[in-house]
Amino acid sequence: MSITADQVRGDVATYLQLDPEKLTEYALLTEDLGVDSLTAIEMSIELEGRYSIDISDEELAQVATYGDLEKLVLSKTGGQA
Amino acid sequence: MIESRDGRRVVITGLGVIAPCGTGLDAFWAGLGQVAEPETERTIADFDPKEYGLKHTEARRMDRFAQLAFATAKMAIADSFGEDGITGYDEWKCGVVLGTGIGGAHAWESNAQVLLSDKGEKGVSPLVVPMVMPNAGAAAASMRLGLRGPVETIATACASGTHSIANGAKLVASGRCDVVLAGGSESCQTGVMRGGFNNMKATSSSGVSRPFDIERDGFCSAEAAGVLVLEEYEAAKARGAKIYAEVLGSGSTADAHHITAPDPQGDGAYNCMRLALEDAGIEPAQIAQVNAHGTSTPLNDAAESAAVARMFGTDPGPAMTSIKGVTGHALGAAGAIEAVAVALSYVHKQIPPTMSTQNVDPQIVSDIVLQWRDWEPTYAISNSFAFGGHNGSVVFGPA
Repeated sequence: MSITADQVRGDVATYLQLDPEKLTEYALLTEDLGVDSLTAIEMSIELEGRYSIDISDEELAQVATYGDLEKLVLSKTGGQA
Repeated sequence: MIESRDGRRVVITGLGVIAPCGTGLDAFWAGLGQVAEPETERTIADFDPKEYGLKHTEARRMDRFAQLAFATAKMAIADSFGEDGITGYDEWKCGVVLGTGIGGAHAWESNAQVLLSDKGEKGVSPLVVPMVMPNAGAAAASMRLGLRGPVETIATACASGTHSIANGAKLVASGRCDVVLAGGSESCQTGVMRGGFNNMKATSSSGVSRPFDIERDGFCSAEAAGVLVLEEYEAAKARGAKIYAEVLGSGSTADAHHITAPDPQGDGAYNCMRLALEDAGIEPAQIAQVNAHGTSTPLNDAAESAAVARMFGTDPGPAMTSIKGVTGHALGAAGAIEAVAVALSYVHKQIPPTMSTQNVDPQIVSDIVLQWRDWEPTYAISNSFAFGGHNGSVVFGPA
């Protein structure tokens, strides 16, 4: 399945109940978006289910910004930024 | 020594309640006189965690019983101290004792469904453990309201709320705490719980809770939460706090008889009340109001009434009411919302009626309150009896 960056942004924004405009490339998940470790894990499970992908713990640990997350998801779904 | 009171008295300075018959003190009190719709399960229609400042992402990691516990605790603190929360106290001497019978029943059930689906273990939420744990309600109140003294949970099924108030009062009386949020919360209207209660024939098939009535046929399960702010009397008086009533003493015993049925002799209940009166330094004849456990099951109501008659006599004996005719049975929150009702009876100078009860069982020899009844607030006792044989009683008096 091929998805777009806008879809990822919309889904993550819905999940976090945030304005999609806050999901900028350099927005830090923890400091700027209030995503703590538990929420990050929970969100990754949600995204795995939604896009039929696997995100390993190691990959998730490398994600610091929203941009990192978007790139990771798009790389796994063959989507376009 | 360990329970040395040094003359410390414990008073109720704040109340919070969320129940099917009403959210907040005024709605709850008015609701105690409204006939409930016949429903075997009574849930809170209009609860929105956002109204209590919980963001979507925060609410999602708390099961409903914990959301209710936090919201009610916040309400109680606001009632006692105002919207800015507790001030003027050492945070290390502010505690929480919140009971629950079951804990995070909804999270258990939804994650069990995930486990048994194609997703299997991998699909189980990483948040399930802190959601199902029974102490999540107490923890939520502590974390979000900044109470850093003893924060504990008592799980004695339907006596949890009463035991929590009793133990919270002991923390204040002993000097370990200056303020304690005490009460209970419950939300477990799930398929597993429903099936269990129904199949053991504990719940009412008519959907009507009618305590002490000749036609009573079981309880109606409910979700609810009730929280009392317990505070040391002199300090409360010094800060000009409003004082609803005093918590004078408590009793706790066990039937050691059967996992679900009460001891038909009512020995455990009788001795629980006896010990509570002794703890309070009150004579049986001084008790004017009994807020009964009164679940509307054939066995509980008969055994409780026999124990009350033995304790207090029947000539005329104290007025006895069960608010479960309206509220249903909120299990681990039952004793807590009933304590809120008792505290409010000191303000309104009325005892709420046992709703939906029309024909008192001739076996019941107590003076059952069937209409709102005026009383000049003196001494009251609130009982809770639980699966497992746990009994709890708390004695209240005017401050």
